[in-house]
Amino acid sequence: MSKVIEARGLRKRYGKTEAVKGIDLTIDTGKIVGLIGPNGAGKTSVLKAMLGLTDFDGELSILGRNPHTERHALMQDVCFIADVAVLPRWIRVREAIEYVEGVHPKFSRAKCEAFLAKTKLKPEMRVREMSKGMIVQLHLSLVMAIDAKLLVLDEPTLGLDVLYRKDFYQTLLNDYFDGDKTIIVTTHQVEEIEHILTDVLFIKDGLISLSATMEELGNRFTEVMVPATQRDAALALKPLDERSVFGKSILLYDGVPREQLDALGETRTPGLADIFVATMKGTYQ
Amino acid sequence: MNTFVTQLKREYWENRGGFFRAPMIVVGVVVLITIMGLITGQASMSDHVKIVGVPIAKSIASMPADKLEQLAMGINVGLAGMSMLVQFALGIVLFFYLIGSLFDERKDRSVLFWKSMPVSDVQTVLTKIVAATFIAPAIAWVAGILLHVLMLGVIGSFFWFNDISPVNLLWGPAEPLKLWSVMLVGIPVNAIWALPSIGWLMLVSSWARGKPFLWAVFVPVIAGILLTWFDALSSLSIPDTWYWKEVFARGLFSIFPWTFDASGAFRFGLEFSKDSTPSDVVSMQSLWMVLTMMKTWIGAAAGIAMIAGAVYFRRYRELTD
Repeated sequence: MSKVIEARGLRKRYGKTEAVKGIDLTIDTGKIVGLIGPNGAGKTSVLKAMLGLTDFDGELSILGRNPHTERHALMQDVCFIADVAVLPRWIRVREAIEYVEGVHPKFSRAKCEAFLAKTKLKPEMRVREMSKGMIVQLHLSLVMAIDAKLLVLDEPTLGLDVLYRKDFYQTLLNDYFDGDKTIIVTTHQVEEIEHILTDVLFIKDGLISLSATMEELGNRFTEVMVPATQRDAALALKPLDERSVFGKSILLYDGVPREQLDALGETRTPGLADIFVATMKGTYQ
Repeated sequence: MNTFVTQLKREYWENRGGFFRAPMIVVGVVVLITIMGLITGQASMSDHVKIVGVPIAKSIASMPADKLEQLAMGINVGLAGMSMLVQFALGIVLFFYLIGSLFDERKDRSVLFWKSMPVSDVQTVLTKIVAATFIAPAIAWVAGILLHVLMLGVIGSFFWFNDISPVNLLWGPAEPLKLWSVMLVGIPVNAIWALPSIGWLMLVSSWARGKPFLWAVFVPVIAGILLTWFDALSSLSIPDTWYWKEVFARGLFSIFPWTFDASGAFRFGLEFSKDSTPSDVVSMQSLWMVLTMMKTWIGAAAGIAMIAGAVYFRRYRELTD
């Protein structure tokens, strides 16, 4: 497997505040990586650095290139949807297709038109006449018709209703992704992308706080529902987090063998959102 | 090459209103007003036209050569003046096009889309310059020709209607071909002349975090006021009239075509001096003089430096969000 992204000591400073405080990471081909963190954790700064939209300190190489100095060459192989609805408001569907076809050597008009055929978009429609969901459909259709090696999605579904969101990730997984591509996605709707991710990166206060494959995550974290009588024994194992439901405690453990926890109560693999909440405790305090 | 053409198309799509519709509207309005005027004239003096018309027709036939020459000059000045109307509209369009050229995309965040395409910042800035210096002026040039043809047709028909030969009085003496070729040659010359203005407006457009129009206008105004103030305070005489003319006017408004003062025919703000006419400005001689003036090239160099600055900011300016 080849390395798509490699960062060593990646830092980004805005005036006096350091948004990214030295990140090391390696992402290989064929992964779908969720970059997950609370607001202001530095996600967008990391992504912007990867896309050549911002300056940074430290080492960062995307497909062997420095994104800051080689952005336009890099964009042959990297696609991104950096925000919701950034398509220019005046552009028509027909013009957007013609533009991307004209400037991007790896764009396939046939593919794009096939994606658009599944939507309600018409060639003469202008972006300003579309709903937010339709704009995202257009953007995604354009991007998926490009045979890129890396796709970066920064909150691609923000503000969309659940139908559009489900459809977005379904299309992405079924019609776009294959073993030669890599996708990085950030979102706050963690539950919705959990099932499509292969890897996850938690970012907290400008640092990677957790980096694991989804499989490792399942092995590492366990949730136990314990009756009040077992609570003291359970707390002795140092859970990450505790919440109570109907008089029972639900405790989340990192790295405690499941056999040991089975004795305390009913165990299950926690959702990504639960792990996220547990590991990010105290972020805003 | 394909990228370049596509980028130019993109500029046209976005600015169809300014590049195409604005000059066409000017043509339409001028022709319409003329037709209205002619109809009014016809109605109010329908009894006299025959009486007035016949002597005109006769007097043309027996006109001495110098009078004919004057008539021809009058017609050609008129044609050049009509072109200036279109060119003035073009100037306004280009001024606002350039101010928004690198700002609007940041304001509506579409820069995030443009930057996701494999197009370099140099390419993007250069296409916008080509759109402003060749595409829009070429359309305006065609609009000017259209205006001439329509006006010669409308006024000619009016003569015809009143039994005056439009061939002798109007179409014969008119020299539109000469004017059109000068206007065409004028496109690249105006482009060179406009470089400081292009550079300044694009630099502000790429740099300003907000209100690019105010920055573009008030920075040079305040600089000028400070200069005048220093001038008054110190015995050092900084030539502030020179500043207003060569730096302020050229930096801000040289994007208005044909505003160079090559033959002294022009005053700032499209005001013609008494002894000269639009025909003197729109002439091969004045174009040649522009190219031979040192200040044309000094300004062009300054313009190119500011364009380089605009490329730098297009590349490294970050969106604040």
